[in-house]
Amino acid sequence: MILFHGTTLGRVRQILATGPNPDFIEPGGNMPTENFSGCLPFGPFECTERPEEYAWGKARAAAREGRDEGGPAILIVDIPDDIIALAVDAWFPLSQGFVQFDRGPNLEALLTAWPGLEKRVMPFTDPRR
Amino acid sequence: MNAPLAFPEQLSHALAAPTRGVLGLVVDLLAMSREHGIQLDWQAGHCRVRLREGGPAAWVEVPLRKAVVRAALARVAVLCNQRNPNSVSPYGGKGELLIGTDPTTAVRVEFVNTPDEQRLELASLRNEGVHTIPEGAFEGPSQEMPQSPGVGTEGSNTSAGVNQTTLTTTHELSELELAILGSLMDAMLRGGHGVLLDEDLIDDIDKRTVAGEEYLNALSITIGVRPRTLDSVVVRRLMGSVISHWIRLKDSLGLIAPGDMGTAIHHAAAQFANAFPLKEDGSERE
Repeated sequence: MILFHGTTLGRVRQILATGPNPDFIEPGGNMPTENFSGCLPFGPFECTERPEEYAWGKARAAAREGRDEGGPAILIVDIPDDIIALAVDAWFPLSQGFVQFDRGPNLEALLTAWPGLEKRVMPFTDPRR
Repeated sequence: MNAPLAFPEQLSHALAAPTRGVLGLVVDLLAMSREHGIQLDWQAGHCRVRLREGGPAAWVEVPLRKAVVRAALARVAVLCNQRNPNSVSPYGGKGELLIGTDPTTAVRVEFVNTPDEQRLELASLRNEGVHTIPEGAFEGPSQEMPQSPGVGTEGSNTSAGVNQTTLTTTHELSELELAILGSLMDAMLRGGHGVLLDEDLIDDIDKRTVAGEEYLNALSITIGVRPRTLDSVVVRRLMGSVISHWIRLKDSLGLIAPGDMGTAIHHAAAQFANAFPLKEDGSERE
């Protein structure tokens, strides 16, 4: 299953190198992110913003705080269905249009498989800049 | 006729057997907020909820995971922005939303949703009259959030395990959406495993937009819909379908050749057309 994750290009490079890091603390933050999530390419788009909107928001925050993170980007990753299934439960059915990997067995399975997963990175521009 | 449940029982009932995921949880929280408003926050590893007024003042601890709370707050942000576009950011703000479509059910919202802090306050505007709160959006830190886009959907239902979203045909695709499509198609044409870090194209969004339009035109011939009249939901579904088919082809062929792209597109488009039959004017068939 293809998932889209919107963030900055700099953060994408980190995720590509080591996989999603639940202990990652954003600059200026105090708490770890604790999870990794991505939306299905076809939504539905009812729970949060579009991935490009997250990417724009994070890139703008980075620019505002004087960090060069390379602008907005979307990480596209193809995750096997059996790993996706580990992250699906009554609170996070696939019908909501996104998959969330929380610290624990489902994220561990994702990290184990990470090096061999098909991935694409798509940087893009911010229409406001 | 059953007596209405008291607040703690309402809460327990809503959380006992979730059947509608986070979306259902938000619906239940909004319903509970209609009379007295509610406050919710995450403190010391626990989620707690209480009525704002007219009920028990004590916090009720609820067995929700932090991830569920954050996703619910993200859904609240989407609802606020549906009511007043760009009124809040995913990370917090002050806004307003409707319970359903009835304008007399407007609810005032204040929330924060960052890794450091999660809290929500809902207050009914029923007795105050419906009005629009000044925009209170802020762009928070660049923190990880559930990534399920939040605008453009007209409605959805689930059938045979596949989520089907009502198509809208008046939305004009943005340049970025076209660029995404073009970039994905370019990536497919190049083939190969591993990461394609398309840095050369960072500043070449025009090229990718044109490519996206070309591919969309090709798709439209098969599915009978004019380009630039497809909702972005549809385009994303197309992308997902094309990518999936490309991956299957690549697995079987080793590396997809440019000449195979047309086959992949037409196969994916045919699947798409079967799943979402459209009239010639682009609307859904009965």
